[in-house]
Amino acid sequence: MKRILLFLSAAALLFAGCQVDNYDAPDAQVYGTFLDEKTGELVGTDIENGNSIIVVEQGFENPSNQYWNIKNTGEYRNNFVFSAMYDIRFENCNFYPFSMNDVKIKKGENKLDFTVTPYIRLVSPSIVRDNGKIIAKFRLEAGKPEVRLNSVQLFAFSDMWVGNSVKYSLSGGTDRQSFDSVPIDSSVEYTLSIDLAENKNSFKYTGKNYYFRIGALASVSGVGTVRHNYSPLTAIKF
Amino acid sequence: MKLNIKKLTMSVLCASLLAGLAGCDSFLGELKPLDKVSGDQLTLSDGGMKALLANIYTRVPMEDFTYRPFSGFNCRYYDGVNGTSNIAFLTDEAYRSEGDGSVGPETFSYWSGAYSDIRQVNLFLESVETSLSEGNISEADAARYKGEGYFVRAYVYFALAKRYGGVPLIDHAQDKDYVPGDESSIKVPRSTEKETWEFILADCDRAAGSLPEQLGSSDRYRASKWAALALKSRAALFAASVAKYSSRAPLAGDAVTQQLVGMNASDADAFYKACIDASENIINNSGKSLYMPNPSSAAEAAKNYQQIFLSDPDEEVIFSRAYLDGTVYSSQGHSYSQNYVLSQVNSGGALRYGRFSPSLDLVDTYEDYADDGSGSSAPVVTRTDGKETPVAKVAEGNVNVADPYVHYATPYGPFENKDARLLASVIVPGSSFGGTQIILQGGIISADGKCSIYSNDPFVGKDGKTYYGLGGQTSSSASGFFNLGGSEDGNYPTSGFSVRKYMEEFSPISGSNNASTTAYIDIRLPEIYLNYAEAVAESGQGSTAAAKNLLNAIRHRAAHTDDIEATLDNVLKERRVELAFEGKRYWDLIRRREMHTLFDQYKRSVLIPVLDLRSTTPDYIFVRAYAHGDERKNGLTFQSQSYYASIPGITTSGLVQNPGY
Repeated sequence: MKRILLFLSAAALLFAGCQVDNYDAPDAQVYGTFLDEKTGELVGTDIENGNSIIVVEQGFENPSNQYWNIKNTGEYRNNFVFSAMYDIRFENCNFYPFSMNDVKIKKGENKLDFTVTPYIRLVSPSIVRDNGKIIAKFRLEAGKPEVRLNSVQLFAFSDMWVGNSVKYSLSGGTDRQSFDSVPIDSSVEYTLSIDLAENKNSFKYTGKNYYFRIGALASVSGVGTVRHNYSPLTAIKF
Repeated sequence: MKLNIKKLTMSVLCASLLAGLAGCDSFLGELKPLDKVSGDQLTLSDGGMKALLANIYTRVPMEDFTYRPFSGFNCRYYDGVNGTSNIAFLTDEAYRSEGDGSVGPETFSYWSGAYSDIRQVNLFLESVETSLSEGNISEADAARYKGEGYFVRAYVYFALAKRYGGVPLIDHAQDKDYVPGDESSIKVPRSTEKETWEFILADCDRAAGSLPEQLGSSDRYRASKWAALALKSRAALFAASVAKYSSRAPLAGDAVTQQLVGMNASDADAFYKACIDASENIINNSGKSLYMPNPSSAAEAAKNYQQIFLSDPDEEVIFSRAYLDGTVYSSQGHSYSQNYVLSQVNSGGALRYGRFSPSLDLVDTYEDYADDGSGSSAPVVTRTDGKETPVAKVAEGNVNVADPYVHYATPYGPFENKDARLLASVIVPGSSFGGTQIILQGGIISADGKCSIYSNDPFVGKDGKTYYGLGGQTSSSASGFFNLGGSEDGNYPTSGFSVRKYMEEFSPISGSNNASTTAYIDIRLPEIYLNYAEAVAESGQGSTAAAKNLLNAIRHRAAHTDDIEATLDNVLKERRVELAFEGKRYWDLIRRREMHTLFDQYKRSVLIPVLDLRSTTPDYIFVRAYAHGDERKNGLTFQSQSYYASIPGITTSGLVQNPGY
């Protein structure tokens, strides 16, 4: 009995320093797309080290940034959000940075699309398998006249997350062209290719889909880190 | 038994009491802080002041043998593979033998440790004042102590600035500023990155102004005037490079717009000038000189150069740290030799050994002795057709034995006539360590032309003898590539090379952790020469002729006979080879903003010596390949945002966070 009392008082002391957590669970869901202001097409990115939505919830003295990730297609969804007022901004993306203050996220579903100006648009891209090669053809268009071009590259991988951060390293050197911040001429057609014989280690399996995207890296000053702009995903069955 | 339960009950009760009381804070507020070193007792005597001083020196965040890029400073505890990590592994100089680990950034947070250290230094500076005013120490001693305080403070702020950019500058103990109940009274916002660097340089000047020029043998590990100026030379070059090259890795966010990170290119010249002035002062007035500057042969140069790192010679060394044997004195010593000794010579029985795999990238950077005045690197020659590109996935049957490889009679063949500093810094295949010929062999070609890589299969040669794929029947008769990709693969270098610099080649290597006592050289004269030459080449200030002389003095000490121009490329290449494995490369890539362009899915290269049994007398070919770990990870990447680390605790401190966090 004595011992039980002792333990009970111990328990009482133990919990004296605690308080019941008085926060509600996340009650809102936010989803939407990133759309090119000119073409209305999705603006894709990298699944890792790509665009992200920087969100600051209002009402805290020293708020910290939350980073919401975006799918590489340019769509996003976050099902664990607190309904509140938010400030949203975009930095270090593949489109011109901007911010939106006092965005209200209500309880339940919220659809929030962002219209953006990509640094570079990939115009009429095509990626085909032809004669032992993967051949990509495309033209480029600058999002604003000041945008310069750093490089274009054909990315390949075994799944849909293909991009600059998820890719095979390829041999042959025909999958990439580098430039020294040159102006973008929309009349030029670029061709990149992957020699499959030279890269047989990467494309080992038949009957399997391999995934390709064309990326273009812009050079723009005063906007922070510039990320790749992409063509839509192409899957090719081997 | 009953007693035990009683004991248990009491323990639970005590623990509960403690936990319960942890919710209170009123009674704690009346306690005197126990972490203050400015106890009146200690400031009463010079001996007490020396004790405080020793405490200050342990705060120096030197990236020495006990610094671990994934754990922090002064680490001697068991920490798995992180315990054997070296900052060279975060660069293209080397990697950890089993092939894991990133190329940075570091993964520990220095922030709160640094501010605790800064407080200790600021308290120390106050103690010196108190002790002086009470007549316990002389004016001269007080000046020197203060100089040391400023030196350590500059060192700590430098370590902060290179990781975080602009930081809160706290130049005094804040006790008197504190208004009870009002935290904001001691909250200091971040200064700009430029102001932070200027503060560091000013602290270096304050230190240099009151530190002695000459040190005796009893105090040679304390800071001299030259150490303070050398730190200034290093910090100014860092700041100048950040100013000049921040635009190579643009960042965005509040910290950028408030100039808490990054500087303008126009700020660079003033910092380059500060570097030039501080370096010139050391070069002209310190009396320091290169150790053994005029060797008669390359072999002698190699011997001399190796000795620098074993004997810590006073004429060349400006600041270094000594160690006591950690098996005798607790929290002393280091494990450099234990971590990196090769299996063939691990007679002390170190548990984790052979963890250091220098890359071919570095080995290729060294010159040979053609000495035609160009100073160009002499990459290892492996083929007769000049196609010196690595073979991808070398263990998957991709080595074509019909390719025109150069056949060498011995594994040492490709390294004949190479820069003395290569052979003194790196253990190359077939070289000797402490009298034992080191075997670093990664594959074998059978008599009928079958190539086997990374496996220790036995093959019979045309001479009837049995040869093993990795050069020895057991892992104590050869040193490299054993168990690669399997468990316990970390103890055998996998690049074809190992490290010689700082390894205790000429004394028995104990197997016990922390038994190494080799001094760590933090700053030696060639770094100052190269700082000067880089600042001149980058800014056009200072003397190009002097820069050329200094650059070539370093090369002549390595037995080169020609003179090369002090172009930026030549200076940077010389820096890589002269200061290899001295913790410089990582910060050079950081300050020059080259880390993210070099490490953009980059795979470091290795050299695989392969024994070829196709001819009657077996010979060797050398296959260029990629580091297996880098290849497994599809290359290594450093993100631009990692140039600045995340500042912890901003929700409490209200400081502006760095970009991307």
